[in-house]
Amino acid sequence: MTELTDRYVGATLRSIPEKQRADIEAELRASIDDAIEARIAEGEDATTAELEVLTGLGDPDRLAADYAGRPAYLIGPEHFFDYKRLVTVLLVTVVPIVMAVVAVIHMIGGGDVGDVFGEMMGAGLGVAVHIVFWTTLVFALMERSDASVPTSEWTPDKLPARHGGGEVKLSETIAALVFLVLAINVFILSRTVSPFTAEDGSLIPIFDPTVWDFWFPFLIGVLALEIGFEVVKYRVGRWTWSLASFNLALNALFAIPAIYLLATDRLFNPEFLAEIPRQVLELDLIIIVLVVLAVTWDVVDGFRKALKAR
Amino acid sequence: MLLACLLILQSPGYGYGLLEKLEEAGVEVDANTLYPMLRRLEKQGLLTSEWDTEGSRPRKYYATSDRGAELARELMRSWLDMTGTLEELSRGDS
Repeated sequence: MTELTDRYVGATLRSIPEKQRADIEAELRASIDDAIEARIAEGEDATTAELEVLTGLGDPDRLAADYAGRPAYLIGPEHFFDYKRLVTVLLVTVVPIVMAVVAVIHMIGGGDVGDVFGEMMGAGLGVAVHIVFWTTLVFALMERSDASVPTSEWTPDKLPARHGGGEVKLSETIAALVFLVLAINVFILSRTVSPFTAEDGSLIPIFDPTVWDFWFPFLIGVLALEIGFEVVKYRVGRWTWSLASFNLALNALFAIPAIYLLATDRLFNPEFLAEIPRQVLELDLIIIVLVVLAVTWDVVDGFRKALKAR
Repeated sequence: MLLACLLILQSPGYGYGLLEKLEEAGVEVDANTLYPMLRRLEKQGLLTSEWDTEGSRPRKYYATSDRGAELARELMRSWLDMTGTLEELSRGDS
């Protein structure tokens, strides 16, 4: 029995619960010594024998885990699929919502696009990491607890619906196209139509005229892109991850400038606002909230459908 | 391997000695699988253990318990059944 054996036994015992240590130590040492003796009797020298026996026994951590009956994995086959499904669903729903909320908060607080984007991504990443970490932790603990948590029995009821799942229906596409065309028309018509007139008989435009220099053409461009996107979506026939991501990008392209304009009071024409009774002025906030909700729902729905149509 | 252990331990044996006996009997087994397994079987009540402090070195002796013997009989039965079935299958269903 030399220092090497001592170190080996020590390393193994390290991760074994207190009360089993003395017993396991005695047994392990006896077994090692027996093995060494047998080899010496066959003519090996002591040092080589010891080396071979210990090598044969292998990684002390692994040996200790076997003694203690600990699984050599975080989450095993029994719980793995539930875990994976849960994490995916959580990520796809919670992260976009958090990102949208953070973006809105920062835009209202008046930040430039860079700030807002940074905060949004930072929050999104943070939330995603938390979700993955805590879910993994819970499942790893569940794997190690002796209590057998009933894993949900799978029945054919749980199959994702074949139709009405991730498929793109003609009716949906037509509705979306109609809506987009109407939206573009609203933008264009707003130049020439308005509920209010000024004293000199000219119309008071609803939206701030300077907005036409860049932003409105930009927004109309985005809407046109969305029309193209709807067509592509219909041709593809079902939702895919890339479609859902593109959907996210288009929605963001529209919503972020729109909210930015609103929040910085550049959307509506001041003269138009002056004509509106005071109470309705909280319009800004309401519109922002509505836009965020609509956009978030659309994005999340896109990903959900991509998930179903895999 | 489980069955072999239960059967051999019908007469008491200890760690390394068991390793040797199993290898002589033709059962391939690693020390780092056998020792933890002996412990697990004892925890499950299939083996009993006793420390023998006489002799040059104190050793822990294991023996098959009554429950262990019963399990061994059951396993033996299903093993022989399976061997029979396999033979039939290899002869081609007659």
